[in-house]
Amino acid sequence: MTTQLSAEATPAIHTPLLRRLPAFPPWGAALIGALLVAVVIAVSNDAFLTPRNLSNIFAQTAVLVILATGQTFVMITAGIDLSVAAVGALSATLLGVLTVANDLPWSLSLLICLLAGAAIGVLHGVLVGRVLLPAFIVTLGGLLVWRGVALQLTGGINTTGLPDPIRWLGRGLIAGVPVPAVIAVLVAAISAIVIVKTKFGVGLRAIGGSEGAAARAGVPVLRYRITAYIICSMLACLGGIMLAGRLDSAGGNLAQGFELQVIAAAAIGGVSLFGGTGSPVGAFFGAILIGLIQNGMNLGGVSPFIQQIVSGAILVLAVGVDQFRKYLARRIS
Amino acid sequence: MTSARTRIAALFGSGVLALTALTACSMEGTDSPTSAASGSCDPKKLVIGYVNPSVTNQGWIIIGQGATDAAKDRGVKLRSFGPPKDGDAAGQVTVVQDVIAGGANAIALAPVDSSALVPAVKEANTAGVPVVNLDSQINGGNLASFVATDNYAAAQQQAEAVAEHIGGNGKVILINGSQAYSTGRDRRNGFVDTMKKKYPGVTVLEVQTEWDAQAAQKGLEDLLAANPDVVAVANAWDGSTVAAVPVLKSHGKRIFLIGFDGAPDAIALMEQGKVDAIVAQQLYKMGYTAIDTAVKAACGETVEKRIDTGSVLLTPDNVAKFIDDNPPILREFIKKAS
Repeated sequence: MTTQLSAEATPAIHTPLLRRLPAFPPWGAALIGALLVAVVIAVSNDAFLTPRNLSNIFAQTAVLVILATGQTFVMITAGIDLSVAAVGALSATLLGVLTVANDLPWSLSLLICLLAGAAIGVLHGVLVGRVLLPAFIVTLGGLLVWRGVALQLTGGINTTGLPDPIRWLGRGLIAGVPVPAVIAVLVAAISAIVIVKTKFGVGLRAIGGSEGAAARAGVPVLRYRITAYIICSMLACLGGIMLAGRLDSAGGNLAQGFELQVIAAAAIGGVSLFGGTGSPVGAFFGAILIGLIQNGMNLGGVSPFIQQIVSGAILVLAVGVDQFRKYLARRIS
Repeated sequence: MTSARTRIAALFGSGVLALTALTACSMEGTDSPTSAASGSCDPKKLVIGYVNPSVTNQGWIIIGQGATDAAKDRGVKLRSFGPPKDGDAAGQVTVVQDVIAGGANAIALAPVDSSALVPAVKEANTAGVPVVNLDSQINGGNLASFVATDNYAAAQQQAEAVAEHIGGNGKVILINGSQAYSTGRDRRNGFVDTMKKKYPGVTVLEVQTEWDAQAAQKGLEDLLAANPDVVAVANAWDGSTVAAVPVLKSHGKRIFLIGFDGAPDAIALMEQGKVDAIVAQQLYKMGYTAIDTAVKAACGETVEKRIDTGSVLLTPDNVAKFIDDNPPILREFIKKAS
């Protein structure tokens, strides 16, 4: 669709055009969608607007926000990371093994897990950026390998009774606000600043727009790309550990298929699969929209089959709206 | 989106594999007739294929242990296979075809999906390989025996335990597994029917999942927020039971929590006083009986068409005895899980 549109319209890259529509950023569709859905649920169900339910939604969506934020760093470079849920499951399983089975202190274990995540990110980044394998293939392989490693680590047994600080990450409260929500907002906010304001962020977008041009402009393409995969994997680890803390259960089958929701959240939030555009703010609203839809349907007792249908339709609709906006922008110019 | 892709993959996969299986069959057919079951039966020469739906679920690890032990006791060779990925029906069909082609004398099959595995059973029938079905029931084909917990009866037992605890009155949350599985349907219907027929004072609120603990927890949180007066939570499998524990803890008010399966991590939580009851399947017995029955079927002996391996209502009072009655592997798993 994109290629067709850009072929008929001016050859200009759409980023400068977007600046002319500051009132409607790429994540506008997700934000408006989220508000609409919230209104619909609030009208149809009394239980929606209770403080407890709202706090639940933010806590439940936090892990999705964190993984989608990490995904944004990679997608902006025109890459993709399909392995995030598997990497999250692996780090959670590793944490369970280190703390529960081997009685290591939680802080040291957490550090080891995050470093393992960083190492995985380096591996993915090098394979994509240096060996020049397609990101889709590298991380699809990663999806299988890392989940397999996680299952092998415990022989498929889930660990429960995780240390209190880990459970706190998933389920604790700070002044009545869920800890996971606080972490998610911090992660998304810091990432948004990094991507919009720093040389690194500008470089990532340049790589996604045109790698050759970025390299000619002096962007250290390989180093930046590897860093994007490191951030993505480390955030996946953080999210996986928070999820395990939330469930108080860590094992290789954690978050099966969650990578699709993550990519959907980013795409709904206006992060382009072709690179160059997108912001963690969009991933944030995309995740919230998905969380709201699930919450509303849970409150209404809707079957998971229908939930899948609705989620899929919303994904296509949100990205469609965004494409239409770009098309209009081009027509106006 | 996913299901469409799975279906395409299934068509493609089964097409290709059917070809391979066909060639394999015709090649074998030339030099040896299909495994002759008549006459004296030497177990040492028997190969039993054991095809299970999950390599990660802890319940399946215990069932698998039962299967392994039965094979050892009978002196047969056991070949165990999981699907390439949990819940992958197409992959499991492929596995069954490979097992048939590999010359198994009988197959013990626990399907990922009640309908999707019917063609695989029919292929085994054509090849003259008896199929013993365990756990979830397969909807067609010729099955030598069906070895399983009567999930409907066990769910009735679960409903009775809940009703007794809450005095036959109040709101109850039931977290269901996938309704695409006969197991998931029976566990739901057994519970809901019992409440409807015998306990009109009980309101059942349902959470629908695809056996996904994360979705179970979300659904529970959402329903609890909307209905703070819930007095009991019942789960269709223990993955959900375990995920319910932290939710109920942060809820504050005491809520009766009952599980289903008897998975090691859930039993560990019961020992810590966090789970009130579990309708435990006799998992080890199920695996053991399935293989034992498959050996008999391979030898041409008559076997019972339906074998119920039963369920036990576990409470903190009898859990220690249950663990002692099971093989030591259960104790090991419980230790490993907590």
